[in-house]
This record gives sequence, structure tokens and C-alpha cells, in this order.
Amino acid sequence: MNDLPAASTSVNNADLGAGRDGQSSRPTHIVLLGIPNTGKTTLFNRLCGLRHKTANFPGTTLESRIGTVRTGSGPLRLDDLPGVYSIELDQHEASVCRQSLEGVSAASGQPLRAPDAVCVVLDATSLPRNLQLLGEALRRRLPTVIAVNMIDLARRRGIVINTVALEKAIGAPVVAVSARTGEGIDRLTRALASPRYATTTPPSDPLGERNWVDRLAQIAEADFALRDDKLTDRLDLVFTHPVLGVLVFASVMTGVFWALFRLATIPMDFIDSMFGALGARASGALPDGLIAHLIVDGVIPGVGGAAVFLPQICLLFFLFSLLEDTGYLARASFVVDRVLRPFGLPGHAFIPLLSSHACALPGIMAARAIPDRRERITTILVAPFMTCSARLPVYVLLTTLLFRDRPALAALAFTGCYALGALAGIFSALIFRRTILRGEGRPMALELPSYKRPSVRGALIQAWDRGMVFLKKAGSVILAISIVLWWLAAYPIAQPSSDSIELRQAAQTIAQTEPTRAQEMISQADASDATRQLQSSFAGMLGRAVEPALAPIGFDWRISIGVLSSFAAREVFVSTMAVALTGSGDIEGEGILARVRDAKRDDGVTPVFTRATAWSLLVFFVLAMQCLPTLVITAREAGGWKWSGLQFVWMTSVAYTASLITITICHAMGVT
Amino acid sequence: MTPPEITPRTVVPLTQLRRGDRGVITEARTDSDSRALLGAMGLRPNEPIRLCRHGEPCIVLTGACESCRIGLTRKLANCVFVEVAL
Amino acid sequence: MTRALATTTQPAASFPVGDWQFWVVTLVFALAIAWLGWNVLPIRQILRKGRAAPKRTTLTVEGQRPAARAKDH
Repeated sequence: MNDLPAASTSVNNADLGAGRDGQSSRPTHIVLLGIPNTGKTTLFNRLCGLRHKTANFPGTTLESRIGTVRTGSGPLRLDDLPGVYSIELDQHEASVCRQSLEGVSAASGQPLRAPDAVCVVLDATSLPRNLQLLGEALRRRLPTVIAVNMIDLARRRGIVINTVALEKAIGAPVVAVSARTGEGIDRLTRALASPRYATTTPPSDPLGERNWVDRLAQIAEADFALRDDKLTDRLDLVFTHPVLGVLVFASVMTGVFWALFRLATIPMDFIDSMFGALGARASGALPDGLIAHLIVDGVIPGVGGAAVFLPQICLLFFLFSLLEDTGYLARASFVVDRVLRPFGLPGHAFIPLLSSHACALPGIMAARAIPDRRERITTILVAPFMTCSARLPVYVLLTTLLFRDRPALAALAFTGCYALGALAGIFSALIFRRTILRGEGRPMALELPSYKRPSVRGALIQAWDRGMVFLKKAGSVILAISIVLWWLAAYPIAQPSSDSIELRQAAQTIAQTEPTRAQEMISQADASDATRQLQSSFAGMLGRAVEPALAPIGFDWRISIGVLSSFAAREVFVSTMAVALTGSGDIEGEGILARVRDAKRDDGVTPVFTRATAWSLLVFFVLAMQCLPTLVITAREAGGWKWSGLQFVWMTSVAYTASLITITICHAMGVT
Repeated sequence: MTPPEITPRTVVPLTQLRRGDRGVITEARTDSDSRALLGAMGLRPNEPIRLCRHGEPCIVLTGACESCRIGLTRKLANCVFVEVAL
Repeated sequence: MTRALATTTQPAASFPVGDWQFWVVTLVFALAIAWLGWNVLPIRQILRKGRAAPKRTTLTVEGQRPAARAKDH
């Protein structure tokens, strides 16, 4: 029965330090290899749980998850390599897998050495397809364990895998598992602690390899039946239909958006208030001084500014992971491909673009799934055009100023902002794909996984993983920028104005007799000092320096400071404007909005926010690149700072031009 | 548009099969990278397939028990040639 | 944004160099700038531009790797 060729090298187990039964010495480092959609990630999560971290392969955007498996004989490091159909393909992922198996490449921070063993994950529901990769892995002559995953699904389909015969034929342990239900995981964990060298490897010529695969498939599949999966066929017809498919897609995405902006608001508000309370506590607890000011006004808002996005990012990846697990997303990719292809974007781009509506950072990182380099870079370049959550406080401020008691019009303007951003994004993609990123895109070939119940556990782990990556990558940048901006706005210290001095002296006089009035006068003096401080600081000087460039689009020096400061985080613009115009950072405070609306420019007559300026600023914020963390991630993911530079220049130019056109039209129509 | 009448033993691109038609892949007339990827996914010469969905995307079942479902854009499906089964 | 630092009627120094806390916050500011410049902005790449880094190459024959060539033929 076992007529497979013996292992093609002349080494024997004794030479390799193996025991008499072909077992290797106890391994400490194993890599997980498998084709896409074999449940490799689910298996990794099942084996390692939260005991893992994510690291990049040097010079690439590919990630490896590195976890720890607890076996009876001690902990074992497990590396989850990228899913590949073959490690001999001329593809980035395949190259990374090859180099990891050879020990010439490792994820950042990991030692450069070949793994002690390899665990190949096979899909029990379509075993023959996986055997080419198994053969390639066996040729590497590493101790091996084979995990035949999705055994529960195979059983339901009437597919019987003869793991005993397979193990006898190959020589390495073969364990049937279900990563979803946990079946066989204990046996697999024991097998990982004692992998064995295979006694057979496929010939290197294509025909010989094909025969080897066919014979192994015959040995493994003792029984199977042709399945007529009518339900899957019908669902595929609906989900990929040119009309129905689009309707289903629109409904699903509307649901995702609703969940994102409704459900995530609750924890976001909680985190916001928690950091607000922390700031107040710190302010009370720390002795008054500059360090206390740095902590209360720089560090805490900086950390809070990043943390407040966590619920949205985690929820977004949780929902996408669930959708992907059901098998629907692969079908949706084809639906969207029809819409995006005329603009030079592939169907794969819809997840990064959709994710960018929460935050561009995870959206840009999600672009790694796009196989074609030109399409991937185009998606990364245009992702920040999608209206992210950070822009929303700015939209709220400006639409409130523009449509004071007309909420319906404000809502319409809101929707218009989303549409403008998306249109600018896809037309920018079209321009890039016709010019600097010209070329035929890679036509889409995707495996359509079976429809199945999604794994909530897997989705939670994925959400946690992505959230932590965001916090580490973006959080540190936002914190550093917040500290820098705090210092630039705090120095040089401005002398109090004569008005402020008089107010304080008057307040001291009436403190005993009219304490409430005295407190009001002190608040007014504080507001005056805060505005003067911002004006005189280095940040104010920068604002004045860029004012001539922004004056044509209606921005004065105060708005210019806001635009510059929003490079740390867009929502910082709102509190900056509040301080610049009213002296208070509390934009929700009573009367603040009215004072912002009534604030005057240096001439004392013209409002800071004319209607034309508000429209121009709204358009500017929709289209401008104002997020340094995004530029950083673009440089990393696209492969160089030239792409970040292009992204910044392109988006700023588009925003400036659009604002100029807007303010010109407003003035022509008599809108002031 | 309905596909033209196909006689047994005809070699045609995937796009000309009807839903439910079975066949055996003969070749993929595309660049070597795409050919290698299609082969690794299971769409290689002498592999039996069954067409599930005609058009965009073109969905085929591959594998001995037709358990693997692969979706292709029309452009790529036009490059994969199949000998139609009797 | 920053609240007013001067809460009395007394004129404050533009840079309170006599206050040790000023030096601490300025050091933190300098460290933040240095961290951004080194880890975030391309300063490290610009400084390394002169030095040619050793490159790893892959053997190819007629533009294809030997294993891929064997499969094609």
C-alpha cells in the first residue's frame, strides 16, 4: 500500500541526532505552515491563545505571530507563517516562508536560525489540494507534524481521512483536529513535543511530484462522496449577483457602520470621561508646577487621544473577522471588484477603505492583503481620503456653525462630507493608476471558503491583536507629538495683559462681598491670558508664519494654529480653536459655541468664522492629510518615505485647491 | 449572453462553459506567475473541474470530491482552457 | 490645549530657567523630538545614505529561480 518513494536525501536519523524511532530531540521552536483557508490562524489561536505577539519580517509588511504552546515537556515557541499555496512561488509571502524554513530570515527581534520542526496544516475537506505544499515542506528535511484540520466539517460532508494510513505512509505524526471545536488539540500538542522526520519526500520533477500527491491522496482518503452543495451554490448566486449582491453588500456594510458608530460610542465616551477624570484627579493630586501641567495637559490627553479610538478599531476588526469566518467576505470581494476595478482598485481594497472610516491606520495596515504591489500602494495612498472618526468633531463644530438651527441640513452636509472624501479617494486612485502606478492589475483568483458559523473566540483574539498593534504603533507617535505641541504652546510664557491684571485686582477687591462675580472675573482673566499665551507661544509664531499661505482660503493665524496642531490628531483642532478663541478648552461648556461663533479677527470687526471660511475649512478637513501617524504608517507599509511625501503633497494640494474653489464660489454668491 | 453550443471533447475557455458542466483543465494561457498561482490553488493541467457559476465571478469546483471552490474574474477565466467531459 | 501658566498679577519670565521643573519638561520635550526624528521621520535613513549596506541576492537563471524553472520545464 505504501508505494511512495523514500526520502530523497541520504541522511539518516542518527546523523541528525534523532532517536531510534526517528524522533528528533525535544524541539523548542516550530513554525506553522499551510495554504490559505485551512484554519491555520484559528489553530494558532487555539494552541497559543493570548500568549502571543506580532512582529514584522524585516523589509516587508508581512507579519508573523509568535506564540507559546504549553506542552507536557515545557513551553514551545510557535511561529505562524503567512498562508501560501506554494513556497516555491515568486511571491513575497512564499519567499518569507522559504527563508524562515532555511533560517535566513526571522521576524523582528527573533533569533536567526532554522526552526526545530514544522507543523503543516492541511484542510481535511480538500486534502489533495494541500499535498503539494506538504511535499515542499517535507523536502526541507525538518522534523514534521501534520495537522489535518476541519475534521468536524469533513465528517459532516461524509469525507473520511485515514490518518493512520497517512502517518504510516509519511512517517511523521498525523493528527486529525478541529481548531474550531478543540477536537484533537491535546493530541496535537503532544505530537508537537515529539515531531519526526518523514520517510518519504516527493520527487522534484513536476510529473513525479504529481504522482506522489495522487498516491498520497489515495492513501489518505479512504472514502468520500461527491457532494452536491445546492445551498452553497444558491448563496453564491445571490451574493455574487450584479444587483442582489450589491444590495446584500450595502445592507451588510450599513449594519457594520451602524454597529461601529452606535455601539462603539458607549465605550469611547467612557474612555473619554475616564481620561478627563484622570486629568482632573492628577491636577488635584500633583503639586502645582510645570511637570503637573505637562502631565495634565500633554501626557494624559496624548494617551487618551489614542486610547479613545480603541473601541472602534477593536469592534471593526471583530466584525470583519466574523464576516470573513462566515465565508461571505470572499464573495463580497468580487462584488466590489466590479465597482472598484474601473478606478484601478481591486476588490481586496474594500476592507482597507472601509476600515479607514474608523481610522486610516488599521485601514492602511489591512492593505497588506492586496497581492499586487501597485494596487496595494494606490490603496494606501488614497485610504486617508475616507472620512475617519477623528474628523467628526470638526464636522460637528463646523456644521453647527453653518446650520445653527437646521439639523436636517447639517446632517445632509455631514453625508456630503463622507461622499466627497470617498469620491476624492477613488478618483485619486484612477489618476495614480494611469500615471505613476500604471500597469495591469493582477486579476483576482480567490478561494471561496465554505460557509460556516464564525468563531467568536477567534474574532475576539483578532480584535485584541489589532487593537494592541494600533496602540503601540500610533499611540506612541500621538503621545510624542502631544508632548511637543504642549511645549511649543507653553513657551515662551506671555506676560499677562493689562486687562487681565485689572480684572484680577478688581476680583480681589470684591472677593469677600461678591464671590460669584469675583470668580467670573477671574475666569475672564484666565481666558484672556490663555488666548494671549497661545498667540505669543512658539505654536502661535508658527501659526502666524503659515498665515499668509492659508489666508487665500480664509484662515487667519488662529485657524492656522488649529490646522498645524491637528497634525497630532485631527480632533485636537476643536479644543485648539476653543482655547484660541475663548481661552477655554471645554468646547461643550455653556456659551462656548456662541463665543466661538462671535469671535473676531485682529481687526476687531470680521468674525473668525465667516460662513465662507467655515465652508472652506470643512472642505479642507475632508480632503487634507493632517495626521502624522498616518504618514508614518504609509512609509512603513508602502515601502518608503517618498510615498508618504507624495500622499502629503497630493492630499494637501487637493484640499487647498478645493478650499480655494469653495471660498471663491461663496464670495461670488455673496456668502460671507 | 448564453455560451455557444459545446460538443464533447471540445477545448474551450472556462467562460464558455455552462453551469453544471464538467471538464478537465488542459492549460492556463497566461503569464508564468499567474499560471503558477492557479496551479498551486488547484487549477492545474489534468485537474477535473465543475462550473458552478458562469460570468463574473466565474466559480469552479476543483478536487476529486469537488470540495474546493475557486472564484475567478472573467478575464482570468478566459485564460483557463478546459476539455469538456462527455 | 494649555491653560494659562501665569495665574497671578506678577510678570513671569518667558523661560523660567530658575525653575528645575522647566528643565525637566524641556528635557522630555527634547527626548520626544529626538524620538520622533529617529524612529518616525526618515532622519536615520538620511544619515545612513552614504554607507552602502550589504545586499542579499537570490540566484536566478534567465530571470527565474532554479526551482521555478524546473517546474516550468
